[in-house]
Amino acid sequence: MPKTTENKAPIFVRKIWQLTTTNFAIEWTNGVCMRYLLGTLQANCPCAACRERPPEQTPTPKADIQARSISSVGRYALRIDFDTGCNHGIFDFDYLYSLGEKFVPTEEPVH
Amino acid sequence: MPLKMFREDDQIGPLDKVGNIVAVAAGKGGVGKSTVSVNLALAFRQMGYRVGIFDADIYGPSVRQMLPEDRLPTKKDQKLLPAMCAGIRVMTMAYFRGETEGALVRAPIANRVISQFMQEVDWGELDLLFVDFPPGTGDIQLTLSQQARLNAAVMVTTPSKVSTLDVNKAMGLFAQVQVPVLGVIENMAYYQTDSQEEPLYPFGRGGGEELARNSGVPFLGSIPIDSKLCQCADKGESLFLKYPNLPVTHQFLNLAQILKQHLKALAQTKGDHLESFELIWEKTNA
Repeated sequence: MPKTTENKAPIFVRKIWQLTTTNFAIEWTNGVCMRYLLGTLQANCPCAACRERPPEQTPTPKADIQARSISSVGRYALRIDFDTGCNHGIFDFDYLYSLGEKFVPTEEPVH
Repeated sequence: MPLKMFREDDQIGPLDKVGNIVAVAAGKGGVGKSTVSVNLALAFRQMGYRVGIFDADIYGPSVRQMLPEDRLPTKKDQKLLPAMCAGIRVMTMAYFRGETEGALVRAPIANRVISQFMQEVDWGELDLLFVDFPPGTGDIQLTLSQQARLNAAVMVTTPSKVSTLDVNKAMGLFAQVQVPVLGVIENMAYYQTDSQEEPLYPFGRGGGEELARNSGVPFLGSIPIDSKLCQCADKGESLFLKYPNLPVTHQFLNLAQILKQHLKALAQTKGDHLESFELIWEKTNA
């Protein structure tokens, strides 16, 4: 059946900051802070080529993947420029939110 | 070169008492901008909101056909008061020309007419004004983007590639004038009868979703092809009164609810979130 959009309030990025060389964090507009491992995000890349890959070829998340930059796409998503591997995925905020690990920041973000 | 941006403090006039001004645009003709504008307006009206429609298509206005007036526009103290149609305030060029008379005017005149509508129509207090954009990405669209104090835009497309290409161009215009695009509505998305299990996709499948994904804006939903929707538009009848239980009617109400949430979030999060950002990665431990 054609997609029916879920009726819920959209969320946006309030703050984004780098935690380590392989992790970053986002504070969402609903107040929740999430931690993201770059390797996990790349393993869950939403681009067409990665989504259509057979499950047996899905790479295991690499812990040491880094990024060059992370930038916003419209009001809706992030694009991560990983230093290796696929760079095509546009991570919409809802999807990104679902991939995060909740945490309480110990210090104030610099950015 | 950056385009002139509209600033809130520039506006002292008849649009002041309008809560949200939302463009319904496509860049392409024939995708159903006016149908979507009219039915979203009716859906919001049904939900209890004060709604208006400004049909900005000087050359081919069609809102009057879909939403016939109960009261024609009137003039009061040098201001034009919009027509009233099923509880919705409407202004369209169709009130000032014969039904079959085409507007044979050059762009500067059409531009001036649009500016005049902006400055001289007193909309009064409205929660939401839909601006039904004309097709294309030219002078009039730019004038509207700069002068109409648009809070946001909603893009309408059909699933076909030909349509999404043009809609993509129109989104570029909104990006340039910094009007946030709330999302993409896919019109004429599929056709389903009671006897069919699976819907048919006469104009292709998933074009609207793909456009939304590639442009980084939300996909708001699909509107099916329904002859009753077309009949209501042609006869100037309300889909919500005549066929309140059709899937297409529910989908318009659903879309209105989604839009309401997006507008609410837009108002609430203004200044509360990062609009546009780039985080440059540091290779040493942060």
